[in-house]
Amino acid sequence: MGTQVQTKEVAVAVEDVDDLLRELHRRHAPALWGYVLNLTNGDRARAEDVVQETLLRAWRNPQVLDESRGNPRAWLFTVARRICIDEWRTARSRREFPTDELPQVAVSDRTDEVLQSWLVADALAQLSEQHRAVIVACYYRGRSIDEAATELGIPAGTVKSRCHYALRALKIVLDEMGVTR
Amino acid sequence: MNVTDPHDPNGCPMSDLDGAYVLGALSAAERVRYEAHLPTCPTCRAAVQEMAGLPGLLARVPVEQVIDPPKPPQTLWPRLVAEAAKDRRRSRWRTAFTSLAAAACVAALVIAGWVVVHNPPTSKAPSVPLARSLPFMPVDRESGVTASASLQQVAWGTRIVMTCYSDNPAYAGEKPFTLFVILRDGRTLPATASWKPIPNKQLRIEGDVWVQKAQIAALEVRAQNGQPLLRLKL
Repeated sequence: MGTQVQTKEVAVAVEDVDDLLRELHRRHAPALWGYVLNLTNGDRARAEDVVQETLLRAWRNPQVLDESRGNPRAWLFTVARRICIDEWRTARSRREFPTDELPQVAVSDRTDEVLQSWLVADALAQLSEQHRAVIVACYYRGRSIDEAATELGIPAGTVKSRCHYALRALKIVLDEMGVTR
Repeated sequence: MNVTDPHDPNGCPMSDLDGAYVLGALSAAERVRYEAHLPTCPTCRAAVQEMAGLPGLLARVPVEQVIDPPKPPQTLWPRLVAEAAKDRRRSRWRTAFTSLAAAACVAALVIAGWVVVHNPPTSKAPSVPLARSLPFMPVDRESGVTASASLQQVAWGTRIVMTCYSDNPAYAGEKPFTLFVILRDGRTLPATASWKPIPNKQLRIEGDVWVQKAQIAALEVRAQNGQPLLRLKL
C-alpha cells in the first residue's frame, strides 16, 4: 500500500522537474548561448559545457528563478561567467604559467565588458519585434525617419512614436537587469 | 498623427521626438527645431536626459548579434535531460540511504535520550560526536540557542551536519529554524535544513547545499521571522 503511494509521488516529481528543465531551456538557453559563446571566444564545445552546467545549477536551485527576487538572467549570466573564470584558472594552473603575469585582472575586466554587452543584447531580444525593428533601422543601420518608414512600410509618425516607446521599454528592461542606474 | 499628442499629458507636440533624436534619426531640419525646443520644454529635456545613456550601451552590441542572434546547438537539450536523469538517480540513492541512516539515528536517540534528558548537555553533544565541529556564535545577543556544525564536501555540493540546542521556551512550539549559507561572493542560499527547536533537547540536523565547501563564507541559523540567531564564520 505504502509502495504504491510512493511510486505515484516520484512520478509527479519527475514530471515537474522535466517541466522546469524544459522551461529553463526554452527561456534562457538562447541568451546564455550567445553570451557564453563570446566568453569562450567562439569555442562551441566549451560554451555548450558551460551553458549546460549553468542551466543544471538553476534546475537544482529553482528558487533562483523566482522573478519576485529580481531578473533570473542576472543570476544565470553571473554563474556562467564564474564557471568560465574557474575553468580558465584551472586550465592556467595546469599549464603552469610563470607566476609574474597578472592575467586575472584582465580576465575579469574582459568578462565584465562581455557581460554588459550581453545584458544589452539580451534586453534587446526581450523587446517586441516592432520595437526592435525601429532600433535596428534607426540606430544600427543609421536610417533616417523617412528611410525607416519606407523600409518598414509604416508612416513616419509611427516610426517616431515607436522609437519613443522602444527606448522606454529598453530602459525599463535594462533597469530591471541592473545595467543602467 | 500627433497633433494632439498621445505621450505627454501636458500636450507638448514634440514629446514623441525624444527617441528618434537620441537614436540620431531626425533629419537635419527636424533636429535643429527640436534642439531649439529643448531649452523651453522641461518634459522633453527630462526625457532626453533619461535616455541619453542608451546609445552608448547599444554601441556595445554588434549589429549582427541583434539581427541574427546565435542559436544554441541541438545537442544541448538531450544532454540536459541526460544529466538531470543522472542527478535524479543520485538523489534517489541518497534518499534511500538517508532513510536508513535516519532509522539508525532514531534507535541511537532512543538510547541517548535518557542521557540527554537527565543530564542536559552544556554545549557539546555527547550522543553525536562530530569531526571538526565548529561552534556558532550568537549574532547580537544571547538567544538561549547554541549550535555547532561540521562541513563535508560531497559530490553534489556540501553536506552540513550540525547539532542545535535550545533552552529558550520562546522558540518552542511551531516556530521553525532554518539554516542559511552565505557565500564568499555575498549571495545567501537556504540549505535543505529547517527544524523546530525542542527545549532542552540536543538535535542533530543534516542539510545539503549545492555549492562547494570552499565557496561558503558563513552559516546562519535563522528564526522564522528571518532574524539571524547564530552565525558560524568559516
